[in-house]
Parts: sequence; structure tokens; C-alpha cells
Amino acid sequence: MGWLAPLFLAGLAGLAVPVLLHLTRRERGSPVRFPSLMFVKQIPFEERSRRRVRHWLLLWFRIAALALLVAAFGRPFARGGRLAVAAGAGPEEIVVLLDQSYSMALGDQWAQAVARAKDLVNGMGPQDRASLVAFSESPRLLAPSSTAAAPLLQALDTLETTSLGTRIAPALKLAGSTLAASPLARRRVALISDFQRAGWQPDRDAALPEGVELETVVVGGDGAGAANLALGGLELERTAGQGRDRVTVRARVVSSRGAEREAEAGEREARVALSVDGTEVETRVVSVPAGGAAPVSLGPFTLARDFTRGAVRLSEDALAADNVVHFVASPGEGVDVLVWDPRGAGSSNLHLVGALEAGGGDGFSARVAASAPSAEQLAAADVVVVNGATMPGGAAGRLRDFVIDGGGLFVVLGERGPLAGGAAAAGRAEFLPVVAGSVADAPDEPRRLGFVDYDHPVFEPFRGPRSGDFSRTAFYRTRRVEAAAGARTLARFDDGSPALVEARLGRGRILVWAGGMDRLWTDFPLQPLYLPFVRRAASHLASRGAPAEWHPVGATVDLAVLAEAVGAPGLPAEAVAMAPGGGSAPIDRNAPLLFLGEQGIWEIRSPGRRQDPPLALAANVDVRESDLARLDMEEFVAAVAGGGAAGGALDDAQTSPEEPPSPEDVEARQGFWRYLLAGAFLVLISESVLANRLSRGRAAA
Amino acid sequence: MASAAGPRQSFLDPAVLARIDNLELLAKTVVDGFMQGVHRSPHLGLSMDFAEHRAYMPGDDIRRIDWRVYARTDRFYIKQFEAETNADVGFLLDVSASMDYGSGSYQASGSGPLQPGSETADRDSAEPRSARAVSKLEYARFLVASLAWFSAGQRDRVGIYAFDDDVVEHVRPAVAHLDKVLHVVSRVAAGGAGAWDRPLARVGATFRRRGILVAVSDFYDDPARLAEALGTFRAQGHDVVAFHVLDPAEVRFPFDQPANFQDAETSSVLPVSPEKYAAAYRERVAAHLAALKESFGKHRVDYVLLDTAEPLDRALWAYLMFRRKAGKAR
Repeated sequence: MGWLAPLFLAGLAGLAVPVLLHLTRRERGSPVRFPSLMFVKQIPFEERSRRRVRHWLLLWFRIAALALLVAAFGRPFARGGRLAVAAGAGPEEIVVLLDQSYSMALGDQWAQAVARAKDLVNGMGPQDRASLVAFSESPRLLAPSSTAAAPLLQALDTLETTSLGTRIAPALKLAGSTLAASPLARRRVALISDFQRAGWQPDRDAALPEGVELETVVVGGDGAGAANLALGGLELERTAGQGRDRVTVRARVVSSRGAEREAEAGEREARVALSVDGTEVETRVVSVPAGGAAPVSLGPFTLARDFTRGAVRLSEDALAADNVVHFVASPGEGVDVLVWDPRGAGSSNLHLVGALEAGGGDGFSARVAASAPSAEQLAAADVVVVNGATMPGGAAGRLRDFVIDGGGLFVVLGERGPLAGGAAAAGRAEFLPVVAGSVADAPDEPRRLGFVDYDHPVFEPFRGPRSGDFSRTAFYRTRRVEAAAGARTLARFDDGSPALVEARLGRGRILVWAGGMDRLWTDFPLQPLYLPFVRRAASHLASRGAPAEWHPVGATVDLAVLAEAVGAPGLPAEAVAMAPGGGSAPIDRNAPLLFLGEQGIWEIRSPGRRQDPPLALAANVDVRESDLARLDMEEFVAAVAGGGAAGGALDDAQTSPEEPPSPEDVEARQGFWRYLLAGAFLVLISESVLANRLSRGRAAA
Repeated sequence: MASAAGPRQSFLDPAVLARIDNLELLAKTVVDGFMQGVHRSPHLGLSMDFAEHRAYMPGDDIRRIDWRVYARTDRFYIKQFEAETNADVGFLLDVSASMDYGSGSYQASGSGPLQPGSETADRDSAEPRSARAVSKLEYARFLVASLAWFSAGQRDRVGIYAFDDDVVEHVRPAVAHLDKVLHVVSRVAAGGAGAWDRPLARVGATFRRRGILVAVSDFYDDPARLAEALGTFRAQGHDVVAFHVLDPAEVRFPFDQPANFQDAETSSVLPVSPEKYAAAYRERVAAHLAALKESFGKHRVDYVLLDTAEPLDRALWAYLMFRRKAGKAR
């Protein structure tokens, strides 16, 4: 015996209604008005006598009537034969999706998740098939569809959480495609996760196929997400001084949304510690508002050697993975700027050189060359400034190669500049990202900068209020240019023409300034913004793909680029990547790509050779995964579910290869509800008769 | 004059009185039928009946010095007189919702006043005497009207304060205010929750001359608080008598079917199973009545418990005795 509409059986809870009515309403009638219940209230209330059932037969009639009605609406049917298949029996295809993102390491969530997965596998029928997919940012099929539970259980025993974030949609797509290929009528996806809000982006393609049932298994707390502190936004700010780099570490301590529930807790205090090469150098205590973030600045410390390893650690909480951020930093080598000015050192480049060398240089050095730079000069320079110099063919080629190899080129067009001289000059300087026009004078009303791209690294420090106002700078003459395709205009004059244009060439960068940089052209050198602007531009141009201090977990890094960026001669022979967790993986020298699948410091070593310090890089978890707030399960299921269990199963049964049951067969096995309904009416009539008799008897009494 | 035993007379039966629409006629009928005579004023004043001499105290009116005595004794004495009339009589009539209760079909038993501990079986075996038991408010109306008529006949100044949780009607004591008092008594209706603090505060502000306060209520309140509140007037020199009017059903709780009982004043409803509650209820009522009697006695407030099924003569007799006792005390 089964039920076609088992949800109606929930109505059996209504059996309590007649009992409660008997107990609570039997004394209700017109109340007896009494002057004062002052003395009655003083008498201890006797619950038991009040709740005594007086008319058992009446009560049983009512309960029986209700039970019969509920059973009738539940549509009972007889199991067996083809109808059993139609009613939801038969083998089932299950895809178990197990979230192994690092947030699952919170508390005992992972143990819960594995236990629930094992329950599902152990609950398989002999004909059922199941497959196991573990997912974090991408899904992995660990055990293909099989009727055997052992491979799945074995895979579950060896599975651990990762350092990656959650992305549910790709896992659902994989499950959907797996189930779409299944020949079985009943198909189900069991999704086991903590269902973080950050892990789900509505995706139409992630919707399950029609007829596939979605079973969500939520592990973890009560649904609002737990409170959690995390470290994010790691930045290293370098200052050069006395030939050494000083590094200040900035980070943010983020309180996840779950902490909003701890409103009574207000701010939480967290201890933040900076360690460099394993030695703790500074500790601070910060107050973090619930649901907010607090910045923390640690250091500075001196970068003494290449591949200095550091970590910022947060005091322990329930989720450990997001309590630490790692970094690897190497000392900078300073920026050598070669100024090519045909007029030689003098007023035309006085301010430019002065801006670079002011205060001892702070890592900047500038040389002025009146003639085209030789290959040797270029090899020694990080940045070349072409200040109004025309560009002969050989020099143009050398500069082009210099940029392609990672050098920085700052071109000040001036009146003549490298683009003066007609088509031939233009052809020689075709790698420059502008098409130059005439010089435009504005003696009466100097031009201003009407647009500055503050998102660009050169201008980013000037973004904030009171951080500098470029619009006050006067430009008396400008050179009209047009940015070439693919170039980025970083600043425009107030007439809309480009003022500063950037383009990448090879591994280097080119900046073109549309005009001159001396006092004849502009008062920019007299503005307080000039010095930081020049240095930012030089630093930006000199960054030959400097290695990032850290990478997100899940990123793939080209180790060849990394080695070149740090000046290493190349990857060591038979290089091996040592994972933070102790594992190792060989590196293909032809395609030296490394997938950072773990959080921590990765080392590139050559077996049997001592390399000090080893090539290293840091990987940090995605802080978005730290937000443990749970997504709206109703919305999620509505967006994903593929038609529901019962209906889907019936539809699929109709397309099964077996012969569908005849209408008479269906009718014969589902017709019990009529008898139940008739029985309910008979009982109700009897109840009415009895109740009337009792009522009359009471009235007569 | 009626005897001390207070013989029952048909014209004092509440059920009979309830048929008389004219309250003035009712009061006259009751009083004339009950007694004739005088009572003594509790107030020492300026009437012609000499009471006593006392030594002169600084501040006394020198016109009251008995010069003849001075001539004889060479000392100052003051003459004191006993006033027989013009006492202020104020009626405090409780018109809270609880007063609007009459058990109706209840048949009074025996000949004595209410016995809180008496059982229902006694009542059932008694001979029916009242065809219709009046409500407590009706009974209180009869009582106040009768006492007002009675007092006015003695040329007392009569006034009334009808109150629930505040004074709802007020007639200041005056010789000519009997009609107004009777008018108020006849038209006042029960309603609202009862409380004593605010009404007594207002009475205290207006009832200043020493006189007689007659409180008629069902006294559903803490006995100690009630006695303390009324005792304040006693301490100010007033004579206070408390008529406690109760319906027989309030005391004997003759119910036998489980039902929801609704408090007339708060409208709160409680399910009550009389077979479980009745005995405990009677015990508490008996304790309450005993506490009232003791508390009022402690504050020298005369306390008279009245049953709405019994004739008014016991109340009148009690009042007469009270006045006489008060007069002697002076």
C-alpha cells in the first residue's frame, strides 16, 4: 500500500483538533456573570479535572471521521505491478554532490557532510545507481555511476576539504548532464553543502533537467550563517630608503554577515600578527564591527633578501583557513631612468630630472643623454624618457625592442618629437600608440585636464579627496594627438583631446604625453603633483611584470614568467613544485604552469640541488568564501529544481519501455479513496446524532 | 419602635419593595413602618441643650464663656451644648459593575443573616420566601433611600457620593437635598470597575464638617486597605458605618455545573468546576468577611453585613443602634 498524495497525510496532525476542542471548548457557552472572581482566582487551578474527557464516544467519532477524510485525500493505492513504478518505485539514479570548499571545514560541518553522503550511498537499493561529485570552484567526478556502493564509500573516506571557494552552478551542470544520460526513470541530485550565499550565482544553465528531483542537504548551523572573522585585501606598500626596501603590510579584517546576529556583541576584538620568515615582528589588536571590516597596518619591515616570506595571522576562530594571508616579496632594484633629450641637460628637462633625483632619489636615478641611446645604455635602463627627440630608424628599432623586452618608454612629444618629420618618421615610430597632429597654442586661456583616469595605477594615489587636483594645472601649448586602436587614454585636456596615452608592447609599456613638460608648455613642473606623478609613471613603466606578492588559490601561474621577473636565469632542471601541505608535483619545462590548489607558500625546487633561497610564491584563499551567510533555500530550489519528485517520476514512467498500465488497472488500485470518503460521512452523521442527543440531554438536565 | 430583634415585616421585604417605583414613597414606607423617634446628633454644637462645662482654653470663643460660673468661681468655663439636628450624613454608594448582580432564582433560607459557611442543602430545604431576589444595587438603593429619608426626618443634612472607580454622582449634604439624593439614587446605574482610593480622596476634599459617612458596597477589595481608607475619616472625627451588601449566591456559591465564569468588572473569564471550587470558595469568602469585620473594628468603623434576600429592617435597626451608640460616645 502506498499513497499518491502523501503530503495530505500531514493532515493527520489535525486529529489533535477534536481532542483539543473537547478539552478546551466544552465549558464554553454563555459565561456565567459573577460579581467578582477575586476569590476564584485565589484557588489553585486544577488542570486535570478541567481536561477530563467526558464523552469518549463523541471524541472517537470525530477523530475517526477526520482520519478517514485525511486517508481519502492521501489517495492510497495498492503496490505491485506496473502501477508501482508509476507511483514512484523502481531503481533510481542518484548523483551525490559534495561541497568541499574551505568553508566546510567550519566546526564539524565536513564530518556531517561526509556522514550524510555515506547515508545516501548506504541507503541505495540494489537496483539504484549512484555517482559522487566533489566540488568547490569546479566539480570533480570522483566515482562514476555504479550500483556498487564500495567505490563511493572509499572515495568519501579519502576526501578532504580544499582551500577553494564554492561554486554550485558548475556542479549542478555536471550532475544534470550525468542524469540526462541515465536510462533510469527516477533521477535525483543530492546536494550536500553549507549553501553559502556567495557560492551561488543564478544560472539558467544550472537548472536540472525535467523530472530530476533535487534533494538539498544543509549542513552547519541554523541557517543564518555563523559569525566569522577573515583576513583579506592584503597589500604591500614599499618605500625605498638607504638602498633598502621597507615594506608596510596592509590588510583588512572582515567580519562576515553571520556576525550581524551577534548584535549584542557589538564590536569584536581580533589579534593580528605579522611574521616575516617565521619570526613574529608585530602584533596588533583591532576592533571589528559586526558585519563590517577594519583596516590594519603592520610594519614596516626591511626586505633583506629575495623571496622573503611573510604571513599575517588572525587570532583563531571557528574557520581557520581565512585567518591567515601569506606573501612572498623580494627587494626592488631601483628604477634607472634614461632621459634622451637632444638639447642635453638643461631647462627642458631640469624639472623632470629633479623630480626623479630629489631627496636622494629614493630608488630613482636619472641620466640625461643628448644622443640616441645605445644598446648598452638601454640595457642598463629601466625606463627611457624621450623628451622631444626625433627618432632615427635605428634608435626607434632599439627602443621598440627595449619595450618589447619589458622596458618602459615615456615619450614627451613636444614640438618636434619622434613623430615629427612626416610619413617616414611616422613609420619609424609606428609602435607608438598615438597619431600626432599639430601644436595648439592657448595663450589667453590655458587648457586644463578635463579627465583623469584615477583607476590607472599612475593616478590611483591621487583619487582620494585632498590628494591633488590636476585641474589646476595650466597647459599653454598642447600637441593634438589621437589615440591608436588598443591604446588607453589616461588623461584628456578640457577640449577632449588626449593628454596621456598608454599602450602595452610585448612585456613593456609606453606612455605618450601630448605636449611638452617644461615651463614653455605648462606650469605642471611647478605643481606639487608633478613629483609624485613623475615617480608613479616611472615606477609603473619600470614594473617589468614584477611578480605578485601573492596569488589567489585556484590560480594557474606561469613559472617561466615568474623566474624571469625575479631575474632568475630560468627554472631549475627537473623542477618540482612543493605544495604547502607537503605534496609535490613535477613541472613540465616546456609548459611550466603551476595550479595553486592549496593555501600557503609554494616552493619550486630542483631535487638534489640546494637553491637558497628557493623560488617561492604565496597563495591565499578567496575571502568571499569567508562570508558564511546562507542563501535563500526556497529561491535556490525554485531556480534549480527540475520538476519535482512525484510528478517527474510519473512522467518518466510513461516514457519507460514497459507497457503502461491500463486505465482499469489504475482505477482498481487507486479507488480506495471513495470508500474512505463514504466511511467518513457515515461517521460524521453518527457523530451529529450522538452530539444532538447529548446536547438535548444536557439542556433537559 | 422596632424591637432589638428586628421583627420581619412584609413592607420591608426587598421583593415587595421592588414593586414600588417611587423611591420617595418607598423610603417613606420603610421608615414610617419601621420606627418613629429621634436620634441624637453626634455633633456638639450650638443647640439649646446644655451638655457640660469645660475649662476655657486660649482660642475659645469668649462669647461662650459662662459668666455666671465666672462670677461664682472666678474662673473661666465654656458651655458646651449637644446638637440634636443638622448633622451631615454622607452616603457612599458603590455603583461598580459588581453591584449589578442578583442571583434571581435563589431562595433565601432561614431567618438569620448570611452565614458564609452554610451549605447548599440547607438552602434547598428552606421554605421559599422571596419570589424575586433583588440585585445588590437595588437593595443598596432601598437602603440609601430609606436611611436618607430617615436622616432628613431628623433634620440632618443629607448628601450622596455614587462612585465606581471615581465619583460619578455627587450631591453635597444639605437639609433641602433629600430630593436630589433620592433622584441620584433612583437614576444611578451600575458599571465600571470599582476602586476606593480616588472616590475617597474626593469625598475627603468635600466632606469636611464632622458628620456621618454611610458606605454601602460589596467591598471586593483588600480588607486592610478598605478599613484603612475608611478609618481615615473616622480619625478625622466622622462616624463611619459600612453596610456590606452581598447576594446569597456570592456567599454560598450554589452552582453545580462546570462553566466559564465572567468577572462583572474586569470581564475576565475563568473556567470553573464548582465541585472542585465551591468549598475553597466558601472558605475564602468566610475569611474575607471575617477579615473585613476585624479590620473595620480595628479602625472603629461599624460594619454590617447584609443579605439582599433579607428585609431592610435589620439594616435600619443596625443604623439606629449605630446612631445611638455614637450619640452616647459623645
